[in-house]
Amino acid sequence: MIGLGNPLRGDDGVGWWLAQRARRLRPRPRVLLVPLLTPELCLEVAAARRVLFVDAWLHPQRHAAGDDRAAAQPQRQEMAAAMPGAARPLLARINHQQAWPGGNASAEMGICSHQFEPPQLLAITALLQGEAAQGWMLLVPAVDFNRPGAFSSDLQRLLPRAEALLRRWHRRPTPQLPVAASAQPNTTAQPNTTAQSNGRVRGILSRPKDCRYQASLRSAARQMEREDA
Amino acid sequence: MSRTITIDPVTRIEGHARITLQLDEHGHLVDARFHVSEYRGFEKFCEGRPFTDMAGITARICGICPVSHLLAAAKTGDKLLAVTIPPAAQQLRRLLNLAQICQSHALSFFHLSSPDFLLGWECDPARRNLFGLMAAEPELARAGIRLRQFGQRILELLGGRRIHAAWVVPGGVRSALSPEARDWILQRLPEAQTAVITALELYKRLLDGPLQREQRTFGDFPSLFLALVNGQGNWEHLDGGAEGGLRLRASDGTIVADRLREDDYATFLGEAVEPWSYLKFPYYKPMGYPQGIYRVGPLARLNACEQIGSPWADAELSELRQRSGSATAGMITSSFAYHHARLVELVACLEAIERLLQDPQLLQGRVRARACLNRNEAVGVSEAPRGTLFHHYRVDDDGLITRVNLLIATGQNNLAIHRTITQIARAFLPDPVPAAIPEPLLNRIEAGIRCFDPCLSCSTHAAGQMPLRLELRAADGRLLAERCRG
Repeated sequence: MIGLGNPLRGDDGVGWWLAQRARRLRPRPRVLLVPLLTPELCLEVAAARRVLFVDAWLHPQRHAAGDDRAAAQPQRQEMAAAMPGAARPLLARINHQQAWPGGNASAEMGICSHQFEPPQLLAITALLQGEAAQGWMLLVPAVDFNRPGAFSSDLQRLLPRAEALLRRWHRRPTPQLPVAASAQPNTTAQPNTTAQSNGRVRGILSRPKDCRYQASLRSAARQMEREDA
Repeated sequence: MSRTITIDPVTRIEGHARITLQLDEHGHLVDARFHVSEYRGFEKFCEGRPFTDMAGITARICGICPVSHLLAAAKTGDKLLAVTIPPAAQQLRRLLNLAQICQSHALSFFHLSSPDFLLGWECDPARRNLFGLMAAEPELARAGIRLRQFGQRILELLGGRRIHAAWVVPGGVRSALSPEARDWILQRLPEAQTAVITALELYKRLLDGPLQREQRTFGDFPSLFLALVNGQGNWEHLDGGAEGGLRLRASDGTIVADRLREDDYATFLGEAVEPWSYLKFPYYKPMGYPQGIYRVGPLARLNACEQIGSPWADAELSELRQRSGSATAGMITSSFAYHHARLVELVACLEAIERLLQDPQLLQGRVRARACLNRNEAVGVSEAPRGTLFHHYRVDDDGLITRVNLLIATGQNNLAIHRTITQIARAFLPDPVPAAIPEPLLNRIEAGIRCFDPCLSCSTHAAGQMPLRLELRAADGRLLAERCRG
């Protein structure tokens, strides 16, 4: 379980908070708390069968008010637009095939630098280690980023539901451990051949554009709305 | 008809920037400018804060090299307290900085720069990245990731977290290194060394072949080089001690100034300002602006020092000087050699880490000296991965900051970055410049900037963010052509 965020920025710390709460669950998941996703995390992800990324996303009300964070986070902006008035935590399945949405420039910048989106981290894991863990994302609507160490009352009201989704994810059956991903975090995984890697990279880079991260999240949001109804 | 070409944003650097190439009415290149329009304001909003908070605050300037700011801030704090820190604390700080340089150089070489070397300048930018590198050289990509993880893990073992660990404090460090942590580092050292050997072999092979033109044209010009040296004039990354200090060396090998004290930096370093960039333009005062151009960072450290002081690193330094240095003094003037210098420094860091871990002093005794405020002004210096870093604080009698000046490595390379992109544009742009700008030229200009591994998040502390747009503009301002990324 990877908690993402910055606890010094109010609601942005919800990823860390929830991931820390997950340490009470049994069997106890391995929990990492990080401000951003870096390439070397693939070495940790390679040892997992399932990975849950827990993060904050911008509340639709703030989106409507033109918050600059929404402008900087088109993924969250799209989600907010897809779910007008539905400010609720979201649990969605993600995968490494969503790492490359059409080969555009912003994707290149993300992949090449030190900050990845979860599907990109899963993709790197798949490329280097053979298989990626089953990926999930838990997103909690955030409102206030200006209160260090404290959550907004809006976010606090959503925490029970977010925790329930966390437990739901935890209860899900664990998939079989992929053979090539069985290495422990600090061991040297056996490399794939260049030809294998070449084929895999070509496979990922040539994915159709409908394998989009945002589309997947929107679909999950609609599914959850139906379940709630 | 004069035209302006704008490249915006520049990718694979820390932060964002924009480049404009100014052409005259005949289409010939007149000037190249590296614009930084990000504003962060750390120098201003630190005013009024206790100096003891400065390590924690300034570390937030950057997620890649927070350790550098931690160390510079803590060293400045040591001076405000007027304490000599315990020997174990000094050794632990050194270990932290070496790990920081390892992880940062690994990121720069393996993740940011090697896609250019290995995939070619003509390669589609959508594939010339870490994914493409994994396809072409999976072993190298994996080695790079694990090498960076090695450095990050040491930071975590020392400071409790990989990023923004407030472990270094005025007077020393917060806690000692455990024997288990030392053993883990020792156990992983051989793998880290193997990764560096792989990278060095690969890079030398490329240097003998496809990278020869880049080595000649990527910012090869005379300048000064500034870096810390120790008492023997050897490579230093944290503190030169009583006998060491800052050294300025010219491209012909002449030592222009030696054993300069950081406290006097304002007497020999000036900071010019240009209206088109928030990034300042530091220069060596006695030579004036812009003639006082100097470079800092891995290449400057290796040019400034006599030798490194450990066998493998000295052998690699000797080969670097032989391959890329001048025949007489062995001075290396090509900015492209920054990449090779980073690999040599990785060797130096791994050897130094091994040496430190075998020093029994590392785990013994106190790790923090405690005192009250005893001075009202101090300057701290350290060698960040990207170059020499100065922190200068003034405080009132309550220890509250009244003035801050931060002199960052990327800023100090600003003049050199300008000269580098101008040289690359002259070498690779057809003359006169055509209306359509070829992608490989953009790639090379970007790559020229990446030689310096600039960190704009750090260097725009006073005032400067930019993602790469290239524009061709007519003298009357009409947009003739445009290429955009990000």
